[in-house]
Amino acid sequence: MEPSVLVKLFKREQDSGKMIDLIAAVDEEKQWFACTSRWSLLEVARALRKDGKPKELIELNLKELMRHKITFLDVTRSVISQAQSILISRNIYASDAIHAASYLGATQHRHLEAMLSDDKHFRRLADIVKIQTLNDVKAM
Amino acid sequence: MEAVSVSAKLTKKEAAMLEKLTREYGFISKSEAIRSAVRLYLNLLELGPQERLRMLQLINEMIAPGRKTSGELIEEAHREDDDL
Repeated sequence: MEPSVLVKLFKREQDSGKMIDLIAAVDEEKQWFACTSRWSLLEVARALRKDGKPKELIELNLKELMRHKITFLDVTRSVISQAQSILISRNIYASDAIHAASYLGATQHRHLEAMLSDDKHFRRLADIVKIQTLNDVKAM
Repeated sequence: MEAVSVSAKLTKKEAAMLEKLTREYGFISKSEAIRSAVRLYLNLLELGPQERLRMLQLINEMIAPGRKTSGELIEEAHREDDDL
């Protein structure tokens, strides 16, 4: 999961209800596995701050995010190194490269269906990262 | 019921707000107002995951409704990083 969908948990907008249902399903279904880069916590915090949320609410939102069955993947040297390679070969933001590298790293240990994202930049990485939007996710 | 006392430090502004709300809502004391707030907070955090998220989303929307979408906010933050 990439930050643009995680921020939806704390805003009322298109597909934000669907995102809540999805996280609840991940919490309940033992065979489901959801992960994101630990870096996402910073991006979510920054987005909420930009949205004018007060400090206490941002802290509560982040604690809530960490209370669910989402695995936060460490930004290791190997992730940074792969992100460098992705970034050098394509015109993308450093953060997006970190998420793509984290996804690729995670696929080596787990079977991942796709990266859930509403960020249009990830379409540029369609050849290395399989993207799904909340629109693609069937109703739960 | 065995009770435990907990003290909390507030800023002057928060203390003034607490004083005002205690009067406006007719709490018998500031302690009672705080107890009520803590119970409400604990009730929220004890809800099931889905209900908790829905309630938190509502609180976010009530306290600070933002006009930008999640995607726009993330994109803006990325552009900031680029500008640094």
